Amino acid sequence: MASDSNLRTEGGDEDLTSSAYGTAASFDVATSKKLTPQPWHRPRKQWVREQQWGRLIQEFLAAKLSAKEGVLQYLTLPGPDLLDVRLVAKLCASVGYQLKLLGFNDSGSDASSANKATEVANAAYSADESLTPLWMNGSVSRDSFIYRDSVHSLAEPKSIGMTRLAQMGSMDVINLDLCNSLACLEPEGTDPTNYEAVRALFDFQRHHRHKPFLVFLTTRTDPSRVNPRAFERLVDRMLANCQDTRFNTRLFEHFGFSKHHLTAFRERRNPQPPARFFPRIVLMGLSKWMLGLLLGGSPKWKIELLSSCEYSVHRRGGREMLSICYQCEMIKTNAIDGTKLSGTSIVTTAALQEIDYALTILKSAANVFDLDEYIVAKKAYGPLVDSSADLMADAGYDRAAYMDWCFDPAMHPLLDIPAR
Amino acid sequence: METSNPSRSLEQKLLEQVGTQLVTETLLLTNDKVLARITDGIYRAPGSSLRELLSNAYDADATEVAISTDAPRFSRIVVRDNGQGMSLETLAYVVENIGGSSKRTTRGQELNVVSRSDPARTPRGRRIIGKIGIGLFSIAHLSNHFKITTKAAGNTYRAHAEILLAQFDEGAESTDGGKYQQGRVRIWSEEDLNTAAHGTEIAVLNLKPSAVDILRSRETWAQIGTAAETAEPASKGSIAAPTFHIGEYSLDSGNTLDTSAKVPWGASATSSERFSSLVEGVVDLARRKPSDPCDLERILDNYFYTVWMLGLALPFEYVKQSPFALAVADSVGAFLISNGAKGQASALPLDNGNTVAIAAGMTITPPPFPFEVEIDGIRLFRPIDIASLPATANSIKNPQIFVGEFSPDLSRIPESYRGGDLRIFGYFAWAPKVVPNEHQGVLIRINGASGALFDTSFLRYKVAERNRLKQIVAEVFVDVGLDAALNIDRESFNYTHPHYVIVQAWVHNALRQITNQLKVLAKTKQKQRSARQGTQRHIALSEIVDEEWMLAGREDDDTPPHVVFSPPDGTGLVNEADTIALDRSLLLSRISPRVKSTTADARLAELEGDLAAIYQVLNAYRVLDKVSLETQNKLMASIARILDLRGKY
Repeated sequence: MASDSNLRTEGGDEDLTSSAYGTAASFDVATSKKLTPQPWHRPRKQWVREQQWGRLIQEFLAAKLSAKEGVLQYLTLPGPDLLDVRLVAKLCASVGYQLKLLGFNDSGSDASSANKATEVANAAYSADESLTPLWMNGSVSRDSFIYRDSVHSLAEPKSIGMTRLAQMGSMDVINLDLCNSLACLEPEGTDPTNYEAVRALFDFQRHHRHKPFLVFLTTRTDPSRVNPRAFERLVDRMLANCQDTRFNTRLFEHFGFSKHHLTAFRERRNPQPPARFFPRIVLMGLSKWMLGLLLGGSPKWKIELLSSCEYSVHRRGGREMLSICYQCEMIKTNAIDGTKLSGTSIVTTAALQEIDYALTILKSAANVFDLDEYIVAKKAYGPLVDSSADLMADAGYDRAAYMDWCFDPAMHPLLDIPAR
Repeated sequence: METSNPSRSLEQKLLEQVGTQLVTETLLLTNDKVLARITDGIYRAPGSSLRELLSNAYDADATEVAISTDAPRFSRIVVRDNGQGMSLETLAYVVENIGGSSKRTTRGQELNVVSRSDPARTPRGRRIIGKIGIGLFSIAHLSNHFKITTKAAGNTYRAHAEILLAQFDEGAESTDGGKYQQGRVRIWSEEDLNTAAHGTEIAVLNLKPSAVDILRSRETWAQIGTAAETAEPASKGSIAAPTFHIGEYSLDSGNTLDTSAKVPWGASATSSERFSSLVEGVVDLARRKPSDPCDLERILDNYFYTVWMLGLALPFEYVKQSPFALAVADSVGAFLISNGAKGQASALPLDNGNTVAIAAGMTITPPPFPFEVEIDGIRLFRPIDIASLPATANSIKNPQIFVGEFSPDLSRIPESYRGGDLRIFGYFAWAPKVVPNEHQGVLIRINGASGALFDTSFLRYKVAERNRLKQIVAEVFVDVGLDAALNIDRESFNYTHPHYVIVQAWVHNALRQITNQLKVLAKTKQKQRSARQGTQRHIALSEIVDEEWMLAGREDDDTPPHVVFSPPDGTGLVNEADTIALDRSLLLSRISPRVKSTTADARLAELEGDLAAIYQVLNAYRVLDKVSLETQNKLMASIARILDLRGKY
């Protein structure tokens, strides 16, 4: 696999031989790719792919909201299996669209420093290599590319990722399928973070787009994964809205907590909100943070929460993972003729305020549900295993072995696995 | 005569035959080391590798190709085409027969990589432009490590090959009975039941640091950095950043550019608009800064230079309009080149709505189907746009296009010497200023493709036409023949091949006609100008200059430069090969002040007329050839002082 050509030094006491040789390459180990199902391959993720991402993209395409005719521009953080890409590509192909992909995959960035760059390059290339059958059958554009960078890099205007984004133009769908929490890092850090990346991404979209776009966010919500300072700021965003009685009341109605609980936490009377409230605070806090980003600039955009669900990762009923889908839309306002020359009637309806959008988000957020329980209740496990197995087979996994894995209770101790 | 038995060495056999007068006939053999050398890279720049990969895609009947990189980091380059793909059998042939291209052969027909009816064409009828056996391994210039994934329609598998090339060592011994190991390859396949899917992906991995350095223009940026650090003001700004570039990137910068990219297009530009913006950007620079040399290597970084050169190399559509499709609305003059050794070009009437090709009775066959290539979102075109070349103060202001075709009857030549038939056509576009400089010359295209750059010597044209040749951009298209004259790097020709010699003769014959025609045009314009300027004095001066020009032995060279005097603010005039703008303000500062009046204006016009004539005569004798424009202006102002004394004492 690609060795790291970055090992030499720039300038200074650079060796005169440094440009002459790269490091010796060796055959790619990816030819014997390990194809064992991993925790993130559980069938419930297929529900997220189909019923959240897939369904919303279908509606998006049906409404002809893509910026370029016949093309869906899709920013994603694909793993090497490209499961989301495969599903979205199929959906696009079914309605005559082509998927154009901008991928970021920095897997391996936590490797030991000596091999870090190589590992990252390998992971990105491995994912890119998986695109081959997809572009060959025409469902993904030939110029789709997966960068070996973290999505954080979008925070930097001069990054390679941002340069490519600027070249491609605005995205129709942004899928931030994170393994960790969006709020895992310290606020106002010196290095580029998720926060800056999302802000830069939203600013880019705001300046290069008129039509709505979709944002999918998968994030951990458990206290161990959410940075305490970041969490405090999310709480503060909600407390600001709690000044409005409607918001405070509905917050309590929907989620069982209110200004009282949040204030107790912020005033250090409680070290932490009760665990059952934590994911809800993250859900609302992140949604309101994004709303603030979109409303804060010019032109103003709003964000609408379309769908949200939770599932467990470490303990039964833990609901540590949250999958949220949003639609962002530009707020269009008509000019008011203060001079009254145009003769148009004065618009009497006041422009909506942040609290109005926050209330709408709150109302939608109330529909968040436990996906694990839902699958059991709806007896959806079997069908999900089937459709997930199709995707896994496309990605090179053994279909039968995958299905065995899905129905093996020992592999899924936190879930109620139905008999086959 | 005895035919050599391969089982005995030739050397042994010859020794045995000493004194017997027996003649031995044997086959001429090549050494595999030559191929090993080729595999290691015979090309001059990383762009050559991309050109060869695109040629292979073209020959595979691809209609769309995408080259994707993470420029300017270039951690990998991926080339994807929707061509017919390769079977395992073809793939095996390629890796086992480096240099032994199956194209243009019956083996190629068996492997279905060429047309069943004509091995010189692709299965869908394109004329073949590449040689896959070598072209693929041109990647060695970029990297020693690459992967091929390919699928042919109808097959139920995708074939993969991963190749690790060895670095060539001239001193290395063969490893296998005269065979030289080029590296190692792994080939495997995986099931793909989508029988309709087809295409090829080549992923170039682990790029050589030297190749990355070239692609990201490391040297240029390093020089700029050094200049910026130098305290001496003189060195500052001596090296400017390219006008258009993909940004400055150093390997220790991680994923961030040190300098942001500067591109000539807006955020909403389509892939086609990006390329046309690049071409317009370069032409526009020449318009805005006519005195600056319009060198692509200065205006573009290596990446955009490569993009430009790829646009020139492959059979792409013209960025705006084919030179053969120019018409009267494009304000060009058109002429048909005669194939007679002493013939002269004849004017082609375009005023009846004809294009140049129609007026010349030429049939330009369009490609059978499209070939669209994008590199990092920039669609490639042929970056030649004759109609938009900048006008200057030249006496002939509009481009003049000369076209012709030639299919010599070679039937009288024995077949073994003929080298096959030859059919060529082409255009020579003269313009006051050819932009960019790299387009000055002639480009020979075989089947629409060319690995060479424009040949500024016009295939070694010996007639002294220095100025005029700089004003000609020409493309000669070879429909049939010449391929064998192309050297193995596909970037140069075998000068002694009969086809090359014929093409050379045709080009030189065309140039003779073109220069003659241009002289006639210039002369006519000059007379018209003199007539407009109206005085007998002007006509007399013009006649003197013409005579001196001949006496100085310049009759076969250019016409005298047109001399103009810049207005006081110095704007609006240019210094071109055929036009010199002298500094009027300097002139006025050196002669005695005069009160504004009609008489004074007339005297100044007369003085300027005399100075122009003196300048032209000095030029005829090449007195000013190595004198800077500044010194020329000072000299002419000094002469003006002397002339100004006339009638005063």
